[in-house]
Amino acid sequence: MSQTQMPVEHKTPTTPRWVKMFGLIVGVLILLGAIILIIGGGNHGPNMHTLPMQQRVQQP
Amino acid sequence: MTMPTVLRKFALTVHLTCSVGWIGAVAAFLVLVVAAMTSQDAQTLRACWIAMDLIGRFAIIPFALASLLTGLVMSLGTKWGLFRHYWVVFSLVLTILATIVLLENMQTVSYFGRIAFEMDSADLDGLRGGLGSELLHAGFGLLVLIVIQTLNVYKPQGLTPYGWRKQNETRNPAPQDAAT
Repeated sequence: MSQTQMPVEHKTPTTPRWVKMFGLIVGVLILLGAIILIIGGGNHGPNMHTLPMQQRVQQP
Repeated sequence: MTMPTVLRKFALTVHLTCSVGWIGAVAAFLVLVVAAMTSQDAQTLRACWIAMDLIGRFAIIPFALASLLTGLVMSLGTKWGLFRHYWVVFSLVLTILATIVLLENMQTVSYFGRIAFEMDSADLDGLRGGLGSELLHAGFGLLVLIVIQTLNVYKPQGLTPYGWRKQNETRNPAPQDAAT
């Protein structure tokens, strides 16, 4: 009888559903961003635009 | 360690001001991107890039860094903690990611802002070419900031395993702690 009266507080609760969904969405978006960076050849930032812009400006 | 009420309210005021200011500055940035995309006028295009650079450097970045810093102070100085509740963890991770992307993207914006300021030729294709990326960055950034804001307002329930352990330690202190 006494064995059934275990303190509930010591049992770690299950992860809430919103946390799982949110984590999944954030993870997918981070993965998507990484894939876009990889597909772009890591050529991100100002360098992505520098060469074409300079070529255009230098044209007569 | 929790802050005294007066200090906590002051820190919360600063944190809210910076966070909402960040959202407002990104919204203004987004307006400029759309204005530049829809305008056929060369002067408008150049002016938008220069304004985007100024807003980014003197409003968005300071607000972002201040928001991150005051957010850390708020979480560490209140009962919420930094890793006890899932909503705080998600807010922290998203804020750090948004700040990293912002700092990276601002290099591009500053580059175009400089070009727009210096060039006087009619060749504006390059300036137009960078707008699509800015629409994506600012639009997605604004969405992430609204999600963070929503998490901070609603504070959905959910303790992390660390938070659960800490809560149990507070409710059921160890025998040696209870004796003191």
